[in-house]
Amino acid sequence: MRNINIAIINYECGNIHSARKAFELALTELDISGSVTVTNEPEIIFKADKLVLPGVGAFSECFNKLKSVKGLSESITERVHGHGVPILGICIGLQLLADKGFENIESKGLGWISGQVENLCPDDKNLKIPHMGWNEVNFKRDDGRFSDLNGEDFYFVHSYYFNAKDTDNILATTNYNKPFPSALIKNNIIGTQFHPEKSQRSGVEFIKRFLMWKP
Amino acid sequence: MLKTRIIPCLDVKNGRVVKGVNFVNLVDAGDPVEAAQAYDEAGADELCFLDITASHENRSILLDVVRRTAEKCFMPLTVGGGVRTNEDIKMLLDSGADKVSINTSAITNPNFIKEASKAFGSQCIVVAIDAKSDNDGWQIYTHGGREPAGLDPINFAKEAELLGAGEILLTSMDRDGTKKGYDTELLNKITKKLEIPVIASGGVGNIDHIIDGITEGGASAVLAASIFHFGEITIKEVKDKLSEKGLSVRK
Repeated sequence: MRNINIAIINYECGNIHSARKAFELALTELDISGSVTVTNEPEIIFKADKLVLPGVGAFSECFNKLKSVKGLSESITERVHGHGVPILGICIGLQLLADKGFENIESKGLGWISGQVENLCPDDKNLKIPHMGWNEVNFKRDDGRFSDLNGEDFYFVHSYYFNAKDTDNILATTNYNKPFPSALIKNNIIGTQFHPEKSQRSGVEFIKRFLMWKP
Repeated sequence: MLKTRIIPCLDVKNGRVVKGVNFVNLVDAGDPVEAAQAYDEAGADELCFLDITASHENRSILLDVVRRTAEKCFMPLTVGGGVRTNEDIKMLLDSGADKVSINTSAITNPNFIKEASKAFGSQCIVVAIDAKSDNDGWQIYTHGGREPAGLDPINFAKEAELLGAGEILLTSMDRDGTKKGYDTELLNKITKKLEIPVIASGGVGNIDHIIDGITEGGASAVLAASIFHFGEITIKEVKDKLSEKGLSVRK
């Protein structure tokens, strides 16, 4: 595949400017032609080879916004589950893949990777919340081609984390008081708690690997 | 392990860097985008733009600077200066800022912190506090340090946290520009009381000051302007020394 059309899903949850730019850079560095489109239109999502679900904000609000665009979540679901198109969820975009979340109120998620989104709540009172800044990502296994980034620092900013039910879905962990899943994987679905689009060189390298990933 | 963040800060006026940036490889040292890229390459963990443009009408110039920076630098960018409304925040975030720093408006109208964090999420709301010592402690100043607010920075920082701030940027006005080091006493009182991260600012003259801000002050991140701009210390030197001292930094 020498042409990749990437759709970054815009559902009014945070800054997608840098995500678009980072994906464009990754395409250029891979020397692959293609396009990066920020969109909420099902027709474009149906033509995309890779999907990106970004997001910052609160779980329930983001879920409601995703659901409020007519046909949007249905088109993503069909593309991901019907056609096997790879998707990358970032931050809230990862958390929305869970069964449910507990930020402010209990709220339903997409339920694509089983688990729930819970408060980080470190016992060590010296540790600040949100978990904000650069931290190592320890890749657990090599389903795709991510494990060579093992130990690299990525940028995080979050107060909740994805507590995965099935440890097989954990692609990477990060230590903040205790290890938490910082990247998850299931079939053609990947999600990262960190922000590859904000993680300088490591981030662009991660995105390149996602683009080349063939689940 | 979470790394201590090193954050260079650029004062921007009418789209140009003021106070100067003195790097060898810059074609136009006054261009904030070029300075931002240089810091990106030098290993800065985040970047901060402080807009000191006098008139609000020149906002579009800043937005353009933010947009062009976000196209080139894939690291978190905080922008502050003259942020008064949710609309101001939205424009900055839409242009590519990741966080917005609110100063005077947060202090004169604390409810703005609540409205802003509710609308955009705590993660992007930084409350900037300028503090100066007085007889029996410290006092907050607003309007670029000109007007006393009659508020205690320690209590106000906690209030800001409870209202939804994601981070506090604490500048010591006593120390700012003196190169005598951060006010670690005030920093320590605030970081002990807060659950959210605190960025230390004002007074860095050497690497030991940075270390003190982290170890004595308890800062999660350190911000500095002139020592980096004039190449007195490079970010790499800071990181090497910090890691020698057993403090964790991103390599």
